[in-house]
Amino acid sequence: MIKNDLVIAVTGLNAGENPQPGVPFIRLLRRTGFSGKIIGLVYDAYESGIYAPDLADEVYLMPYPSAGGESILARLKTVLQKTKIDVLVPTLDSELLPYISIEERLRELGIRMYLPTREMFMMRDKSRLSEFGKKYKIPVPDEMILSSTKQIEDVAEKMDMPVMVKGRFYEAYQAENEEDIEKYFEKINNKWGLPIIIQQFMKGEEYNVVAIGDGKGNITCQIPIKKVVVTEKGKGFAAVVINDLKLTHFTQKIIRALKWRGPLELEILKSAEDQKYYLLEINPRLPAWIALTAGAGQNFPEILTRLAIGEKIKPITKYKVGTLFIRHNEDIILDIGTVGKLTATGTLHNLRRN
Amino acid sequence: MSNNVSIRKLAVSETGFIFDPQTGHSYIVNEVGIDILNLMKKDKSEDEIVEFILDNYEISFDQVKRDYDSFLIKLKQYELYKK
Repeated sequence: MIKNDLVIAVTGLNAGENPQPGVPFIRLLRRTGFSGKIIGLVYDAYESGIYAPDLADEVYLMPYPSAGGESILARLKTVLQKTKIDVLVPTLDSELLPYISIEERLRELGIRMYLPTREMFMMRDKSRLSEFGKKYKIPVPDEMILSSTKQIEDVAEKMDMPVMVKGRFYEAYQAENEEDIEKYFEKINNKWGLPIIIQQFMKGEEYNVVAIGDGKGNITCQIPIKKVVVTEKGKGFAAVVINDLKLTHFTQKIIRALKWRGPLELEILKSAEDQKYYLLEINPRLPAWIALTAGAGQNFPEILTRLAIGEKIKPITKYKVGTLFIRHNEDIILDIGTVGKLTATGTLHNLRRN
Repeated sequence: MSNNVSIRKLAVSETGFIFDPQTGHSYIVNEVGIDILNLMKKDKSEDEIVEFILDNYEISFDQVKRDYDSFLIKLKQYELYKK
């Protein structure tokens, strides 16, 4: 049980086409009976979760993560003049490095987080996956890192088509030829910058695991899933909890190698060719489908919050296999003046009473 | 057919919805399929399964054998049964 005098701040409140973990995170905290204050830290007045009923109590507009840790810190200091924050949970990939860079100073201000160190974070970077796999004997697909379109010729020489073209933080596309690679290279570069990661496409079944590591190589909790409905952009809109001992051991091996502290989501492929597991990606944050964790018997937001405030939690191994989620979006109706107020003043209060 | 771990792990509902907890795959089988899978989960032999079907459904021995064999082929295709 989380004490009601805690104030918890959460990012990532978009729940539309590209859903983020903030909305289900808050819902799961509320499900534990927590009635304390929850603050939404948002980048855009159109993040839909701001206006969802009975969710955040207050929201504050934040500078984008690309502005860096110092800008975020400066904004949080102004927020702290209006409210205390005990726990802060960044939920988006692009936020993690800036927040890691100011973790100590936030702690001095009374704000606790449960994040990996910079070293852990960099070890799992998409552009270093081959290095990580080689060092810890974890199978990964062949990979090339591109910093210029001139290198695309090398890809065609060294790798078989198709390949996956990936951004460092977001987006991945399957390319069938050099033209496709160039097209996706430009598309991702324009949006997220370099480098571009080229990963060998492998046939097989994809699985995902969400877990929280304790920073010493142990897993506090983990839930493996199989996505059963996937959108064009590769987002899971339905998934079921599974139980495969080999997958559990594979996950343990990765988290032991990283000594990961905090939540992560693993993307894993079971190769159709050799039936072995291959690590495709390590996402350094909770996935948007975390509501499933509570459905399966492990409330990850509650566990993460308790870890952030320094509670010791013994590893939780039981979960309900066969639990399914199906994503369901609804429209929220409100007066445009509410969006205007947030845009103009940078903050909204008393949202839960509206 | 004993020691078939994949079959034993399957969750077989009375509606014929089959869930493989190891892979997350799901399937639908008919009433006879439910009976066959439940008997296989109990490590019953082929003869025992055929006998059960003959006792409970109006069907000839040859037809049961043919259907049983094609059912096993399907299970092998889906990597649910290895022999």
